[in-house]
Amino acid sequence: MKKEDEFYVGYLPTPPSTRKKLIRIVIALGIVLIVTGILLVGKQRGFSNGTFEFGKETSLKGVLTTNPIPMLLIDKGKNASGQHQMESIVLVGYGKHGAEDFLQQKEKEMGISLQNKTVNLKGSLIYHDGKAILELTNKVKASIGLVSTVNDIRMPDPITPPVAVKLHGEIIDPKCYFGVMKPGVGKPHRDCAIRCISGGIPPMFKVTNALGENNYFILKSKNTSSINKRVLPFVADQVVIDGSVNQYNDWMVLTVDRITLTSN
Amino acid sequence: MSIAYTSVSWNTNKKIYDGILLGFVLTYLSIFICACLIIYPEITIETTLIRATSTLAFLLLHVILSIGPLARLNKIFLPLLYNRRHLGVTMFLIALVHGTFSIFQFHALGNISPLVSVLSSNTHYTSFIKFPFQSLGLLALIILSCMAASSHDFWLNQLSPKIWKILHMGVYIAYGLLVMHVLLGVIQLEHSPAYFILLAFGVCWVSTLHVLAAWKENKRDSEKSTPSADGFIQVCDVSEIPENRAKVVTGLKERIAIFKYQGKLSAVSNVCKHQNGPLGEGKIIDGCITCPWHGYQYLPHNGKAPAPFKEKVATYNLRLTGTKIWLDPKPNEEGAEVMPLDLHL
Repeated sequence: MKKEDEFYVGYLPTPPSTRKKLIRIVIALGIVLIVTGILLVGKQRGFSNGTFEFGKETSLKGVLTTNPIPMLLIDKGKNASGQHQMESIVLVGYGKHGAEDFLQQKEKEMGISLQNKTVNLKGSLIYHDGKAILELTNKVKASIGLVSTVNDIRMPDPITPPVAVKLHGEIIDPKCYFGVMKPGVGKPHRDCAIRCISGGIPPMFKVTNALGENNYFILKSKNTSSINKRVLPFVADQVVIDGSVNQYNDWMVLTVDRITLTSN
Repeated sequence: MSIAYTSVSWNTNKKIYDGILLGFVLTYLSIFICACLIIYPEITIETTLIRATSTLAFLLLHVILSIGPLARLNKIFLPLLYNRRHLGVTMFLIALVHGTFSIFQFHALGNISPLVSVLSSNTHYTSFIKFPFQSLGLLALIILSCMAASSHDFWLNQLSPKIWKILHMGVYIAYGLLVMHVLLGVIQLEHSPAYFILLAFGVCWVSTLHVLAAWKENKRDSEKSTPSADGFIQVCDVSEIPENRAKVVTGLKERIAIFKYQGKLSAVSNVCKHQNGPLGEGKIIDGCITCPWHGYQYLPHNGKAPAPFKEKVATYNLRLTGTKIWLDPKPNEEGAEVMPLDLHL
């Protein structure tokens, strides 16, 4: 068969010259696609080193509080001036749920208020940037054990007096941001963050300073209205929040007056 | 060609095609995942899988969309077109893994159904920049699933080639949706301009190929002769048609293929009944016009597929004046017998 008269029919043997050219084309195409894939990998912006100990159960003992959000206060001993140092572990539920419903359900079952009681909690730790979260294990009975029936500690009054602030940053859902999802910020994560915050996970505000360091604020409503519902239209956007800041142990709490978008 | 429906009519070339495709898919995923885990040890496996499958499916979609015009521009790409349906279904399955994984990751275990969540979590439907890009991906996935589900020849025959072709043109809508899915999604997070540049290059590449292929065909379509009193149009000289090949001309509306074979001339519709392939770019093999796309065959003198096959295309009347070929652009019925012009007379 003359080279120029070669004709490919799928169910017949491939003509030799066509086969030769085809091999070159397929190899070149494969190389181009794989090199493009490697380029796409290498050009990613990078990921946080947050950790989610998925599948690993950790048991923690501390004092349970729901003010301003569900947290477990763990006594880390006294500091040089003799004051108790508390580490606050934020509590969240399984999946895209907050811990509040779960704790209320447990209180009902146990017939006792768990507020300010010493408890053992089991769950999976999530931690990043010096902050820790505990995802309560989805085994309803095993995840909480009452150690003491008396109130062991009260959430201290705000350590600092409220300070009026105007902060620029992004509203995040802390469960994803601190380690469950990567990336846990920005537009690609917006839907997930909205779902998490709708499900009761307490919203937080991430503020990055000029040095690139992040500060995190627990968001709180000025009145009894739900902060979760209020922040939903602003999640994952760059916003300015006017409000006042208090410090509760090792967390800052930002009481929100006004949220303003800074980007379209 | 097959008269009975089987899931896949395997032959050596299809097996080689699918083997290479599977090998490539596994190689790409392995390299992408390993590179991610090495360069970014802090990445989660979920993100790695979501990104590996999304990039692979999107790259394969570019290849799929390029094969058609490339095959029109250069015959060497025709073998890639032969089994393009398997490539399309493979791309859809990879996209399905990406979509399923993403919906589970971002929407499952919440307080509403994951599918409802995809459409209702981000409600900025009136904003371009904030537009819920995941809903665009879901819509594209639905279109691709319709195409994958109807890709078999059974559906081609049930729906008719015309309807089937229209349905499968939905790939361009899906492509547009996916371009926006990427543009309004991950590109808004990534800092590197490489993502935007690659996306723009991909869109330009696909568009340019289609424009070039269309320009080539339009150029041929615009070559029209003035009809004679009896309606015949002068087409070309006999010497312009190679043996066992055809010249394609545009008649009233349809393209017509005039074949020269064994000292004879016959004219049939240029449109294959299988997938509207260009018969005029085919060849006479074993006395039959053979479509360059999937090898469907027709007898040149009556446009009928050889028994036991039943496809048939329209035939056309020809006339010879000296060495000039004249064509009546009015089609005969599909399968109508027309005595070939004998060049020896």
